Amino acid sequence: MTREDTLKRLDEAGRRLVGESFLRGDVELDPDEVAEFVSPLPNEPTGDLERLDRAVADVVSSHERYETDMDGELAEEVHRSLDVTRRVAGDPGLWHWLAVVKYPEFVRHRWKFTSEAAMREKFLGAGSDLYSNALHRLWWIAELTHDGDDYSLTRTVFDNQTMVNKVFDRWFARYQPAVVAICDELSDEPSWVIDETTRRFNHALTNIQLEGVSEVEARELVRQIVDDVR
Amino acid sequence: MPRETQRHRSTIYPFRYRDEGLQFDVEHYSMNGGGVEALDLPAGQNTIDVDPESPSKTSLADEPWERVTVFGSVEVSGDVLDYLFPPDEQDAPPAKLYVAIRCHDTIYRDSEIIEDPLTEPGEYEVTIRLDWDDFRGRVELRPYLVRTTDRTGDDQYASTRNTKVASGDRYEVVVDRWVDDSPPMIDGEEARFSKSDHLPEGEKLYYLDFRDETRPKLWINADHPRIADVLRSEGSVGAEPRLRDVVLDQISYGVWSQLILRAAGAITRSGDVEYEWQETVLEAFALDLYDVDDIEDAKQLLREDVRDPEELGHLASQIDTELQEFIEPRSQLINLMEEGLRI
Repeated sequence: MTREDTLKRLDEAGRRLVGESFLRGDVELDPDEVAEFVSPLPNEPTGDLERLDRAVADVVSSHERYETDMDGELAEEVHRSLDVTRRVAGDPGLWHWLAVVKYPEFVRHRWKFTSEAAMREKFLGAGSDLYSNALHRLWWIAELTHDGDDYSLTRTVFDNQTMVNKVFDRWFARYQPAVVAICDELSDEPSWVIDETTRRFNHALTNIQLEGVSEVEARELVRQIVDDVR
Repeated sequence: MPRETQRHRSTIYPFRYRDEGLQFDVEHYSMNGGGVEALDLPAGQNTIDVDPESPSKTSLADEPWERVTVFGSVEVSGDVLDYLFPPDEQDAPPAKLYVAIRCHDTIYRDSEIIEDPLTEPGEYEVTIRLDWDDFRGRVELRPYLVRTTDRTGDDQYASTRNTKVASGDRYEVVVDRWVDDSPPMIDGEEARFSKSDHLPEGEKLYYLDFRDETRPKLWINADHPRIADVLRSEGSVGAEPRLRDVVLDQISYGVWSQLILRAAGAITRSGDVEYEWQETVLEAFALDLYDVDDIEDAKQLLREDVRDPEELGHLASQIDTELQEFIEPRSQLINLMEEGLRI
């Protein structure tokens, strides 16, 4: 039985609290000031935040700064801890609250400050951009790659950052049968094959209508492209 | 180009394709499994509003719902099938018909199969159920006819399985708008200008509609399906998204120019404007147009310039300069050029 904590959202005005000094980790937000901009989500969806707190703390304490394998360690826990529908997960305010208010130390531990724009994306990205907000990307990639209680493909994806970059920044990554087929078929391939195969797959979709493609057909197409690429 | 010819033209695909070869009509709906009601959409508009919080009060739903079902039909004519499939396949074309369901905000792509296999022309019933938990924002519904087998042959017919060979009009279901966040300053919507008496004739790409001065509305002309498709493309990688950004910049330039001039013309002697969008536009641009620190001073200067024929040319030049800074069209153009060169 999981705990049921009410999930919240940071509203649009609350985003103004996120300045460069916060993004750099030089200052923390004043909890009283933030509270004004935080509210429960509509219909009050819940999650097991104690479990997520624990998972985030474990990952931060057991990894050096900026290690990419934190993603694979945490994605399943983020997905299991947040009992949300696609509709709720489509609310950017949820992810802004998690990144800015709940787990800013994780975001800074995982992502090096290279520019204000890049770090702002890790805190305040979300919506339909799968490869932005530090927590949002973990939940959505897990959502698109898990099979019931089996998160092995999720972990496989995060073991290969080329895969994360080349698959989940593209629009076809919103179609689960294609995601599963591509990630599974390319899991053992070198980066250059992944790069070229995903590019050609995307190009093939100029003519092929994706929503009619089954997972089996997507696998066949990926295998054909890999054979051509090699 | 005569309208009838345009309706049945092929597109740039290297095989036979009918962009509007399927006649898709949604005519009824029901809420939460209740009674079936008739839709009464104005001509040329394919937007079905089921947002209970609709600010325009045009929603079909007056309270929260769990699911909405829309009912309609897709008509596939014999002429279209004969055009799309080679003579040896025309008795039983290897095809399937479905409606693609997409929601940008909930990263949703799926389909509702209508007929598989579809072997003969006819009018096929469509029933699409949308569950509240799966969607937010806008949901797109669009029918496609695709091949279901591979074939060989060096001819003009599609040869690969799942190649789209025909599509039809797109409907959009407005599930909700952002409730807690600020609404967009202007509404945007697609419509076929050729079928809408209130929209301009000709080959316009867009039209900024000020009939309701309180809330301007941007119409995109769905008579240009190739451009409308590009504008709907998602993601940030690839030629279509890059092209989309350039087209959007082009539209933005025209839209902002109009909004600035309209807002400038609405400034009263006391520096006030009547509508929120006018204030937002002035706050965004007035100070940048003049070398002053006080926005009230900037508004007065703008008010005077827009009324002075001798200053109007200078003001137009100044607006052009500011919009080039604001929109930064060079960035998206460079992105598109780099994408093109890579291909």
